[in-house]
Amino acid sequence: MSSPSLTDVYNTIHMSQRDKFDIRTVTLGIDLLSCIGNSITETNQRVEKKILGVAKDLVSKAQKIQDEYGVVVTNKRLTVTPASLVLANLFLNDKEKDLAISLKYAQNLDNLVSRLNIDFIGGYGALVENGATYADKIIIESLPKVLSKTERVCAFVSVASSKAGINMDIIARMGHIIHETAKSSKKAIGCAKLVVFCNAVNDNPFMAGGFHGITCQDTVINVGISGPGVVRHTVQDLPQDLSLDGLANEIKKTTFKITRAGELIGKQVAKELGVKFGSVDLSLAPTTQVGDSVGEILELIGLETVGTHGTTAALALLTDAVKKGGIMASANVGGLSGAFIPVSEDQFLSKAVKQKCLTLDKLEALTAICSVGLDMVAIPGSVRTTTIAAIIADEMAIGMMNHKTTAVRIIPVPGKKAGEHVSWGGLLGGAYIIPVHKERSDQFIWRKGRIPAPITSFRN
Amino acid sequence: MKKPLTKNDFPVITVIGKDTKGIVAQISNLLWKQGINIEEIKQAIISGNFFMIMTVDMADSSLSFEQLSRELKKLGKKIGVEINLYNQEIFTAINKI
Repeated sequence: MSSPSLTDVYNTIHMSQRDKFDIRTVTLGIDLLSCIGNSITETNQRVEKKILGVAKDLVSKAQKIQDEYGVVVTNKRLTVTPASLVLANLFLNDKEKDLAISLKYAQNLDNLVSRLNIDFIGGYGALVENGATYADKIIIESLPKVLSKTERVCAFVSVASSKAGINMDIIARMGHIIHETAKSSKKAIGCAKLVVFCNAVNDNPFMAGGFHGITCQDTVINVGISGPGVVRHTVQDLPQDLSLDGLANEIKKTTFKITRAGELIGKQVAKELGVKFGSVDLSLAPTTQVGDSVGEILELIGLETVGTHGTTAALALLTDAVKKGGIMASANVGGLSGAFIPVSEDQFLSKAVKQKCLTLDKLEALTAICSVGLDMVAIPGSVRTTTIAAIIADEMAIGMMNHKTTAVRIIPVPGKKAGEHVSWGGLLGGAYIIPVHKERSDQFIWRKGRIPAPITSFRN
Repeated sequence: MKKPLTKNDFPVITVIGKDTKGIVAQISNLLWKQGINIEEIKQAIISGNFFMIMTVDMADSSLSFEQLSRELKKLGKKIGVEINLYNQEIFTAINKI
């Protein structure tokens, strides 16, 4: 067998150790439609049997692969079928009883992942772009309690798509739901586990919005690579006067490497578990760790502070280069695949908000070209429900018109005003409260109804 | 009957540290005792550090990958260098088009 070159080995180890390259998440997606029983008790038992059966070795196998390949697998997560589909036939048409059933279901999931030492399970949600069923509405109404009574369950609501338009009835309700979720949990942390989507994807490995879509196979491994650290080192080591296209090329080469590593690790974990491999999500996902910031990369590209003029163009360059390098590396690219800008989880974005250089309006502009949307955005607790709904509507419109995924994970923190700080700790970090426009959007939201699908969706 | 060879049977040992005499001898001794052959050794000084890779043949060894990895790490601590064992697929995956 031919052996690798010294330089190849050295560079790989360097990437892992100096640049803190890691696989951000290995996510096991599990279909739960086959677990639907005649009662919530029976369903929960079947869910337990299936999840424990398939996922019991996820953590240990990921650790084994980590040790064998020298690449850290930071998170091991689960995604499951959207809850409203699993529970629809169990509901009794009695709101109180059905909310109780939803909570039992969520608590069972929470319990299971806790036993398996898995930190999050995504999929407690509903898909309502065209309209909401009774079950969808129950799941939505259950969110404040579920998110406060469980630790590891992540939730989502898909309210819009380029094909269906935007469900403004549900968005109006989500303004209230997000407020109630904020009030029901400590420092509004429940809202950090809830994402509202446009053009949601079925194989997103990241939390909080990941779920196992109904178009997927029974079980699948999807991988989220990260690598802001690696890209950051690449950009930092390059000459400051390198042209932007030259910079883009170097970023492409870097993301080629990290995507290859991510795919290899994902495929090996899938093989160990006896499960199919699905896709690699190329997203650059920052963490609170020093050196792991997307904001810093943007500043290294040449901006004094992220959020100033030029930020949108710089992010366009970065996101596009990441995609090009990643798509060359792998035939199985999926998920969200872009750059994340979660404000609280990125030191440089957070600092820019504190300095008032990065505003909500700029974040919104960035979401037109990066993958995720308004993510981990903390706003004053007194913001009106209609304003929250309008912020969501803006983001959904960006996704719908641009035929891309956008999402909102917004956190109105009770008792906090713009400029103040809230700290959640751990992976969630902390955030400066971003101001929102005080001028109201009430009448717009109170009209409800639907924003129709754009003409660009009519391609047949 | 010899079992079919896989990439797992030819892992790569990496050694990083200050140049210490006897590194190759000590590692070779450990490998020889475990029935592991050295296929290839490459070494260089990179950024002031001694860097060496050894591709080894584990096909005839009774040690598992994890066991060998642990032994090498222990030896590394004893000698004062960092020794790791890798499945070489990671290097080819990342660096080859």
